[in-house]
Amino acid sequence: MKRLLAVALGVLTAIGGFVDIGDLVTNALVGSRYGLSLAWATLIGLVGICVFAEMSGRVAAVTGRATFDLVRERLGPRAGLANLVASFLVTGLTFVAEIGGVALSLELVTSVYYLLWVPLVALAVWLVIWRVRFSVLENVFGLLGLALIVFGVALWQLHPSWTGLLHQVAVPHKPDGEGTPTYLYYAIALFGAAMTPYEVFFFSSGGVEERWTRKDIITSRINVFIGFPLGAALSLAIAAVSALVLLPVGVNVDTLGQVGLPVAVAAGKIALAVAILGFVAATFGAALETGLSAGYTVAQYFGWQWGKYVRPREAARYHAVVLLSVLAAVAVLLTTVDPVKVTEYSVVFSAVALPLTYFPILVVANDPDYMGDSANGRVTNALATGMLVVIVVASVAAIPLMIATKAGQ
Amino acid sequence: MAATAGTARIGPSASRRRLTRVAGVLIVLAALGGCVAPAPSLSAYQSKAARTASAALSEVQTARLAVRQAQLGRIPHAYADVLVSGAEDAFAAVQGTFDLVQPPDDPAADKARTSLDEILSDGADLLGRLRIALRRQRADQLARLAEQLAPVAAKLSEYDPAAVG
Repeated sequence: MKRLLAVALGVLTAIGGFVDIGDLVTNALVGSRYGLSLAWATLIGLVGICVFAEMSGRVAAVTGRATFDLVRERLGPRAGLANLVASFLVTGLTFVAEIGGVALSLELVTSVYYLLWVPLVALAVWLVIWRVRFSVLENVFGLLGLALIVFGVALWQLHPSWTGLLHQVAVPHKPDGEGTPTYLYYAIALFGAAMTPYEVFFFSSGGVEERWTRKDIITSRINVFIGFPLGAALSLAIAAVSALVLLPVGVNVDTLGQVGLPVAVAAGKIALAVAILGFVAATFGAALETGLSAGYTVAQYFGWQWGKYVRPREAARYHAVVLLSVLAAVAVLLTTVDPVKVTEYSVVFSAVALPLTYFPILVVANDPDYMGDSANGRVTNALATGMLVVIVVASVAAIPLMIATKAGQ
Repeated sequence: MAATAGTARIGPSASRRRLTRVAGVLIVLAALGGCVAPAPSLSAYQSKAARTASAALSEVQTARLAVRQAQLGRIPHAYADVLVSGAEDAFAAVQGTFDLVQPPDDPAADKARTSLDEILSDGADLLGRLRIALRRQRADQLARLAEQLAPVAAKLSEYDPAAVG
């Protein structure tokens, strides 16, 4: 019974933790512009994150080692360092976006300018990372993130033509007047939003922290294969309500307030309050995960003591990296850079950086010397290799498309 | 042989220097391209005008939707305030960026600019008044201003720079 509860809790937190500022903004933006005609990109991203998280969870359970520890070992110190720098910068960009997202959410409730919230939010993020236990931190915000299910309720309340929506998903069609490069650029943005690298750093490092063994592989798989698809369903619900409410009147989403507007239209004030609670939980939870991941990546590469299960004094360099990341994020946000724009760039750069960590994990998951009889089977290998091709294509195409479309204009 | 060896030593470094110079020029050009540039042709200018109208429409419709929902009691006042203020700021940014674009020397471009400018000025004025009325919680003014924004939204939605020209 206790184990069943733990599994249920894991699945629920995986659902609630799936959506972050990148998913919120990108899905609403794309829904308001393209309807559900780009849902295929989210679905491919979902398959990708499931494959990636399952492999890295399995690697963590079998080897007891986290992603960047193995990246350095497999790629060598120099290539590993280049990999670390790129991944750290992308995680840092996402961290900025998440802290900005919490501040924007609080502005929606208080109408106090978001920049005034930024230092307080950053302090709260650092305090929670410093003081709160890993399991509490993981479960509380994951569960509160479930408030975003209100987007599904709003979708239901809008009484859409379900066959019409399914048709948009099943038969993708680029709207008239939209260029192909822009369409593909947003496909990569959705793919990057679904497959953000920090999610995997956090997932696998969490596995090492919680001392997963081979027996935990099944639990990890249940979390991934049930929790993530339901989380992706939330992403599609966000895109769908945008498509139904904002697209017909010509609103293109460029603020967090616009993301919640369809919920108010469909289900009223209380539903909107629940949605804002979901915004705060999703972005705050993701800020914790990205902040921790910033520390994980650096500490694992350099072989320092890391994690929440040791006292801060024993992992001083790890906590110093986290603290410096928090300060850097605040400094970036106080330049008055728009957090929504940062989010839009962060999801695309996530797609750019993805092969750097995906490839070494694929190699290790495939290596019987590391994995014994838990190495990738034929089906997993075929799927993971096919996904590698997709990831590399998206990574290579992302920056040229960003330049050609002036970041999706 | 020595000369060949010398060439072999100098060759890569010279080509590296050339490559660095080309990369430097490309970076400068890319940086300059990021600044507000004059539209190079009538069609490019018209396309910019059409994109401006679309972006402005998005902000006007956001403000109208927010006010309507606030009047129906579906969103809190603070939320509506953030949405309307954000729409006003974004609208001003869209208008400002368009105004900075140098139109090509063509009467059609001037007509496209004048007609869009008129709509944008009306929109900016109404959005400002809408925000003031919202913060003062003047329900009657809000309804009237939201009504006045409807034709602005319609004009932006129907705006075709080629037809104007």
